[in-house]
Amino acid sequence: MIWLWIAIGAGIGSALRYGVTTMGKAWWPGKPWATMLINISGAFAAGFFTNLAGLSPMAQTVLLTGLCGGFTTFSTFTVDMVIQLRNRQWSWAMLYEGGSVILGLTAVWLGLVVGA
Amino acid sequence: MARYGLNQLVGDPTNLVGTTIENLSGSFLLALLTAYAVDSDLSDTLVLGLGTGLIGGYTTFSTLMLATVTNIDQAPSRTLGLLLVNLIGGALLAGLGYYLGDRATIQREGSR
Repeated sequence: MIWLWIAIGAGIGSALRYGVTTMGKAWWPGKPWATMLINISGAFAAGFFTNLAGLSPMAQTVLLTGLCGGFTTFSTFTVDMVIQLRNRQWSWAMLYEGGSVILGLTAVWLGLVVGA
Repeated sequence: MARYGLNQLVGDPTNLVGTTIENLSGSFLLALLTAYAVDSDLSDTLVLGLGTGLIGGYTTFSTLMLATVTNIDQAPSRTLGLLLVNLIGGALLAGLGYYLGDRATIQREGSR
């Protein structure tokens, strides 16, 4: 049964990601800021759900592995980076990659604090 | 679902090893698909479903960040090492996938 719930969570997460990415394409054409926003907010949510009291282990797996896991994406992140490097946008690539990781780790920590 | 299954299979309670495998293989596959799909006969809906849906949902950024923060105290070098493997390995494999997909596109266009 948990498989079904994870699939539903991941489906909702992926659909949300598609929605935010589509808006991002309109607001910031050619720039991957939507993916950065998705990954950082998803990292915050993962930290938050980890420490949130009253969640059953199953609900936590569905929210973390399913929803947050489906919402955030690593493959788009690396492909964006390769495209930036190919286009010789060195400083954008550094800002994107470094910013995503540093802000992502900070967001998890913040989420853990807020959820506790 | 594939991600959950693989993490169960790997059996690493920190999820770091499974997540690393998923992120590396997904980076390669998405880059390959992205570069190959340029001017191809594949329908946009299929590319979107495979790329955004399947591969995008298979890889994860939040689990990587969460697992890094929650494991850094117990096993700092292993955790940092695996984070770097994700970042550098993911970039290299995405680069390789992009290169191969791009070559396939060039070959296809050349034979037209």
